[in-house]
Amino acid sequence: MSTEPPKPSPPPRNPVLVALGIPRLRLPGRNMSIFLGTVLGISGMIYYDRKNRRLNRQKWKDRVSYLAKEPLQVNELPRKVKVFVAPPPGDHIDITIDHFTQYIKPILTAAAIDWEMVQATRQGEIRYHVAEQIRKQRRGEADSRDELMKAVTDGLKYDSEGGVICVGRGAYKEYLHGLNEGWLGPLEPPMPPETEGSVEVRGLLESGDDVTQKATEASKAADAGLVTPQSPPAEPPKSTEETETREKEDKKPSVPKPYISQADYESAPMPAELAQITSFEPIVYIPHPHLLGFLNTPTRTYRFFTKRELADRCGRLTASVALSQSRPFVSRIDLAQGVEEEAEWPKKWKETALEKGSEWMQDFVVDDRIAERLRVYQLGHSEDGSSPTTVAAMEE
Amino acid sequence: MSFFGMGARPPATGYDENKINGIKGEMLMIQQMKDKASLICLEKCVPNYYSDGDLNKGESNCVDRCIGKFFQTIKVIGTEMQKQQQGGV
Repeated sequence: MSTEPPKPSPPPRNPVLVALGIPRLRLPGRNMSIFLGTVLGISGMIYYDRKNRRLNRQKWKDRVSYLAKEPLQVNELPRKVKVFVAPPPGDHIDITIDHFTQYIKPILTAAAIDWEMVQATRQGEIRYHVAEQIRKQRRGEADSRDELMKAVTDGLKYDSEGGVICVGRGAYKEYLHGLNEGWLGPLEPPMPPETEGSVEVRGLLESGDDVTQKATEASKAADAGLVTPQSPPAEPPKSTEETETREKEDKKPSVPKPYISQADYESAPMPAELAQITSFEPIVYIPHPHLLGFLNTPTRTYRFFTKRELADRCGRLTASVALSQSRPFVSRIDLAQGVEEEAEWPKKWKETALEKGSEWMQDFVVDDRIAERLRVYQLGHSEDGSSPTTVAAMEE
Repeated sequence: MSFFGMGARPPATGYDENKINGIKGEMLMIQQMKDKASLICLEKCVPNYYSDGDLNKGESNCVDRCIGKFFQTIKVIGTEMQKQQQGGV
């Protein structure tokens, strides 16, 4: 014991630590540092993204909120915008509705704009809905109120501005196709092809879920002679499928086929009602990026951490709707909006859709007579310096 | 309500006491519902301090939706209570 050097006295301890009773303060070791770094890093990224997403949303809300402070008289109704929502290929519609609720709805409520959402669960529903509305208007049946409703609603001042929001490339395509079909197509559904010896035999038509089975169905109907030449042509194919008695489980009637095919757009005559209209309601396409697949995980992770950008983009487009700033429709640019979204659709889904000739995979064609009357919502140069408004600037 | 003069009996085809009470009760219920709805939606949608007598667009929309949700809730509650009553009986 006597050969050891004298022990140095222990270093003076911080009286605070002594009072608290903490024996030693240490920095975390290597493993703990890695763990804490990862956890705090990821949490920090999520927190940063969420905070900026809220700020971006708030920025656009503040820009349009002055519209909500305008007075509304007792007999006036607020502006109503139509929102078309379709599920992304291979997934449920809740996802698109969530996208709408997160990024588009807050700005619409901040601007005190009412909306009417048209949901579609199958391909072609939006197109049929839009085309049917137009056909009703052309036939003159748009006013379907009864006496009491007329008495109640005649004094009300409806808003004439309107507007259309298409969430996702599929809904956008269907809306434009529906517009073409409604205005350029016939008012009555085309008769399915008949064979000679057509008998009034109903009930052999398979009502499948998919509109893509229509080709086989039409040929089957021709064999069975579903509709005789004497039957009134105003009976749409949909109701004939519904009225037949079947002992099978009741499948939903399939969506009616377009009344005019895309190849016939050019040759269709211009209806008189269309000539009187100088412009349709302006539309806007709101991107709805949605990736599926295991190999896409890195991209999906990146998107998970950068949702603030998406909030900004969708916010800007919705603000343009709220502020009613639009530019004329330019086919070259506007038909290509959302092509990157189409590239994200699952490959398998696209292949089956191409085989069946589904609506979403068809060519995107808009007739000139419709295109010259369309407008697209976009923020003007003064509102937001970064988005170009002239065609030349957009092509850069 | 019946102007038959003092002390006159209601006619044989006249008012049924029970029916009138029933209708009175319903009117009371509807009135209560309306009062409740106005109170709740006013509290939620219209701020306490205001400078203008008219409702602005945001408040209008808010009140519209509030009343819509209110009556939808009442309908749902009504059907549920009916179901429970029928189930219990």
